[in-house]
Amino acid sequence: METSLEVLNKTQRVTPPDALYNKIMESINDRADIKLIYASVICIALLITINLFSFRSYNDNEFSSNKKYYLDSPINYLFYE
Amino acid sequence: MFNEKVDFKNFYEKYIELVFNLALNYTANKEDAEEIAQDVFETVFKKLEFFRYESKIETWIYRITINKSLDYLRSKKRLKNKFLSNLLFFNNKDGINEGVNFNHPGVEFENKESVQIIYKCLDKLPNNYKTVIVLLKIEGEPQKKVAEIMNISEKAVESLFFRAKLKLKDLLENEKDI
Repeated sequence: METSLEVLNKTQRVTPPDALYNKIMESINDRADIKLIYASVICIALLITINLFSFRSYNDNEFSSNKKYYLDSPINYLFYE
Repeated sequence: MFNEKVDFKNFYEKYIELVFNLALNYTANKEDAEEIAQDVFETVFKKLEFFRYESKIETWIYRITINKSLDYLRSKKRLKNKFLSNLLFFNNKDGINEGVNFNHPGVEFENKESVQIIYKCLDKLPNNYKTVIVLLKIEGEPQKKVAEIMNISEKAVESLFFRAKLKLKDLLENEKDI
């Protein structure tokens, strides 16, 4: 058993490739870009939500104002076939 | 956090050899080690501002590299399992643990075959057994430092190494029988 593990002791140190630093810097910068993309997507989603919400509340107001109009109208105003 | 690009370059130059070789000793594959090193330095770049200096920075880097290497191996194994079961429509358990795609430039040619077998068995060991063998035997770190990195006592390192050796011996014997 010791013989097997002694083989592991002979493993030599390896010099990392020179291009690795640039690769790491590139991926760090890409990460920053990804953050920007996420922020933009969140902003757009937020804008769409706000728009939808305001559109819905506008429609609700329209309906409630019409409802008020019908409710306030006198009984003889209603049309019967 | 790194204010200047030069700071990060100095930091990188100081620790790249440690990170790369440790990852290489876990994965036994140069490309995988590069990917892990990349991941480690990205994490360090992001997290250094939160480092509380309760332990040495080198110990912290050791821990990040070990965790990233183990995560990488786990996800690779999972991916391999999924791929094989999808491809073959049955669970080929013997084939799955065929182990690492061996490409360790630090291993001498005459030892390559035996080291490859050891790595295949190492891959089947629990994470803490694997870590103790990598740090003590391959990295050649002293017991005290290993205890510090693994955040356990020196006595615990000793007994962990003893158990790891026994388990590895069993696996190697099984490998010979096959």
